[in-house]
Amino acid sequence: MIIDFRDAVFNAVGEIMSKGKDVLVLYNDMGAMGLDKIKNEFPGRVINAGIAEQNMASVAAGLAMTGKRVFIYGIIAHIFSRGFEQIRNDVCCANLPVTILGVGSGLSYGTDGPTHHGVQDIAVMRTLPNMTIYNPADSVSAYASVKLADEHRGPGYIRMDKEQLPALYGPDADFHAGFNILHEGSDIALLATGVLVHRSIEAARQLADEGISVRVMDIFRLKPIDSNALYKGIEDVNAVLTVEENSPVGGLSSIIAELIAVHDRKITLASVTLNDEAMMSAASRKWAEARCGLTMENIIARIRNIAEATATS
Amino acid sequence: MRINNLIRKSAEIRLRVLETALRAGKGHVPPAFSWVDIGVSLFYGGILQIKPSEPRWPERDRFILSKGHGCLTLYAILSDLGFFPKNELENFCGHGCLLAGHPDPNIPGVEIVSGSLGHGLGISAGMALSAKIDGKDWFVYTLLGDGECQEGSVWEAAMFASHHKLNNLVAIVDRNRLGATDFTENSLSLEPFSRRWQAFGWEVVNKNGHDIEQLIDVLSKAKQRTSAQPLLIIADTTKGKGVSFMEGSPLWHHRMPKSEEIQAALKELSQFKSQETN
Amino acid sequence: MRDAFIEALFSRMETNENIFFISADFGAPALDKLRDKYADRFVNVGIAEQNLINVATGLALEGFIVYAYAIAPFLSMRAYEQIRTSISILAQIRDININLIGVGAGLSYDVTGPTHHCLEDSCIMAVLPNFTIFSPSDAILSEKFVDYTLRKSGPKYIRMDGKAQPEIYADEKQISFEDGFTELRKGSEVCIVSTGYMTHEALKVADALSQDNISTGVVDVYFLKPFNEQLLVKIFREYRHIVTMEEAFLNKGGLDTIVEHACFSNRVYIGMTKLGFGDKYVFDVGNREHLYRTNGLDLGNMIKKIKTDLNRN
Repeated sequence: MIIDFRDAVFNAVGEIMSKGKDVLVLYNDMGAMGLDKIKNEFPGRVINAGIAEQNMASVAAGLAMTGKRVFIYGIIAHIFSRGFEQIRNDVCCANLPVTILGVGSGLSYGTDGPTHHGVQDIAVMRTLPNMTIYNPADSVSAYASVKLADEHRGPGYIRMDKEQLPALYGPDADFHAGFNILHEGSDIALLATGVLVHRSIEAARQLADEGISVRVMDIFRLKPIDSNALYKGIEDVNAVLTVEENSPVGGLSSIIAELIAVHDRKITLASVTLNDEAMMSAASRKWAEARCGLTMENIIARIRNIAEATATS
Repeated sequence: MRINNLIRKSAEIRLRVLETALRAGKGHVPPAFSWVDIGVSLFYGGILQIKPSEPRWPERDRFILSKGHGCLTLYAILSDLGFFPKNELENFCGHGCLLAGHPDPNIPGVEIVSGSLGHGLGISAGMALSAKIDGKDWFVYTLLGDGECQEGSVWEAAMFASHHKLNNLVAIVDRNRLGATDFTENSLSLEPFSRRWQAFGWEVVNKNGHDIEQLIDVLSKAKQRTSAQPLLIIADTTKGKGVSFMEGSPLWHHRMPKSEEIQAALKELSQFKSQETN
Repeated sequence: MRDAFIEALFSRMETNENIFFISADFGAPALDKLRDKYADRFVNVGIAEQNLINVATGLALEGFIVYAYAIAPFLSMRAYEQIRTSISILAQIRDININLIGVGAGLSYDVTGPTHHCLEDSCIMAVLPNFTIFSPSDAILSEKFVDYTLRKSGPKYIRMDGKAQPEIYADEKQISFEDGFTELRKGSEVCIVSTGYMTHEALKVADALSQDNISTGVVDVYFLKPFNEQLLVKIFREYRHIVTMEEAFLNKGGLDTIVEHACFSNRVYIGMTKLGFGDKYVFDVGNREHLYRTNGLDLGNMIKKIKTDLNRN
């Protein structure tokens, strides 16, 4: 079943709200059906803060300081950057239970222009101590992210894609490790996050037919990383390829580079990311993927090259 | 252009806006509709000194669309004036095409990257300051949304402009009283709006944002003003103006008309075609 | 560093009428005379960083070469969205020469608490397309950068230390802006790569290691972006261990991550030690020396860590 990420997230938020009166939601005049639903269900507890992201983050912090548990919602590109200093100083320095729900990961809003692209937020939000970052690839893990963020009781950030993506997980899936292996393999580890997880699984299936054994891992919690567990998940392969609809530095590619570097291992590490450029024009996902090599064909080709190179070395 | 022709032009622009959005299946139509008459006044009423064949003519008046999501109107006007070919409208939001959902300066006639709210006034102030320093006669006109005025950065810019006596800066607020999901007065009230801007040191004029004659009257006198203050025109508008069922409703922000609504909207907007031209 | 920069800029203003200096109510002794002599090319926007960036953009669009000046954490983080949309994205299309001068990189403002610390700016600025990131270690470098900013258009971020630092580049021939770094010392076992304030510490560490017969080189990176990756990697190949040192967060896209990416992309597999600040806000009150000690970055600890990692290989 395909459920919109936002619906899944607001379902979870609604459940949390029904358990405690001290749970509030703030949003920057951005709409969503799931949001309307909980607004109707819990009058007075879902508040439009207006088109004022800095103030929204500060108000959320103030509420949290007086014992409330707060969710804030808006478009990623605006919500992480416009109120960044407030998120840093007011929320994270004080380690408050404020969870940021951002819609529009990667190029979800591709054709709306670069002011709406969520492609640097992972790098930037990672710089925040106390911040937990979830980047779910389906609505099931999106729902789970909210519950996990709520358990954590500190600052949280959940990224939502706008695309309708099929479910990857069943209702009993366990998300505590922060990642899951979704396709078994032994030659190459293909680490993906968000929307590209789906393509990665498909690529692995196709490559299996060619005799290339690819392990696909969905890295849905980008911070914190369970270094030991994650490293164990890749220590036996010859090569690692990371794919993400993100800037070249600071996202998944950097997370894995940072992880492997301390283990002093000779391992091939490659990444496919967006380019280091603002994507002007109507940058639809299709167009951007072709431009940056995030297509199925290119991912498969990269893996074939890596397999060949590591076989001969 | 005579007023009747300008009114007709407004209707034409609205129709083109809707057609463009329908073809793409997306777009912020009601926010575009609310400032069409303001746009027509500026671009066709002899206000903006610009050259379509030379979009970066150094002596041009600068126009900044700070409320970037209202760009469908800007695209329709710029293409009509010849800044770029009209057929680009057919590729609005097309893969890798020129016209994205929010404007950027790759598009001839567009000065800045907008889409995030609250930046345009500050940038305009910088440009206006530059003109003062260099003793230039050109003006800067910037169009803001009223919801946009909830952003704190707008007020930083407002203070700056009046402090530096940027009387070559004309800001127009498309006061349609609606944000994205709700009326502005329900989320973060802006009233008393005129008094706030006055308190920030601006000369404020209130006009009917759909009365082209009134708008041109105040705009055409802007360059002759003797006041040292920047000028704010609060243009009272209706979001979605032009299509009755879109008008003044929180439901209509980037919602697209469906099935019968499409025909109804097109019919309303095409009425000008049957009228006599003067 | 800051005064050397402003003095140099001041002298250029005599012959270059396009230079414009804009400050967010942040002063400097060297700035007083600039303000007096060139009143028509200086503006104090007040404590309003977002407007600082936007007004700077407007001026740059009209042909001024703009220097926007503020305390580094406020400059880079309070106005992050403005920097992203009005500078980084805009610069892709329009020629704007905007130079953001952030004073107080790292822990320059040690005792003033985490709101004035800037351990994340190298990451959050480097992730933005079209930005040049300059991180000087002494006043000579920062002074020389003035002519670079006049020659080369486009957005630049300069992260300067808030306190006077000893001279490193008395011999200016050592400086290479094209490469972006200088190998200050040559060695054969350990290569310390550092930036900004930490380069001074790096030289002390190198001395101490050398005294223990560990041949240590030091590379001072002053262009975090862009720099000559191929040359840097070539230097690395002459050593058997790399140590990155930065007064910034570790594992967040800073110098350590940059070096890791360079190594993996070029298949340089040698051991690595990363020295910098962990994932927490520095609430301790104390001067730099104290903060370094409480964060395990005093000389003794750094040497110990490097030796432990060396022995592991």
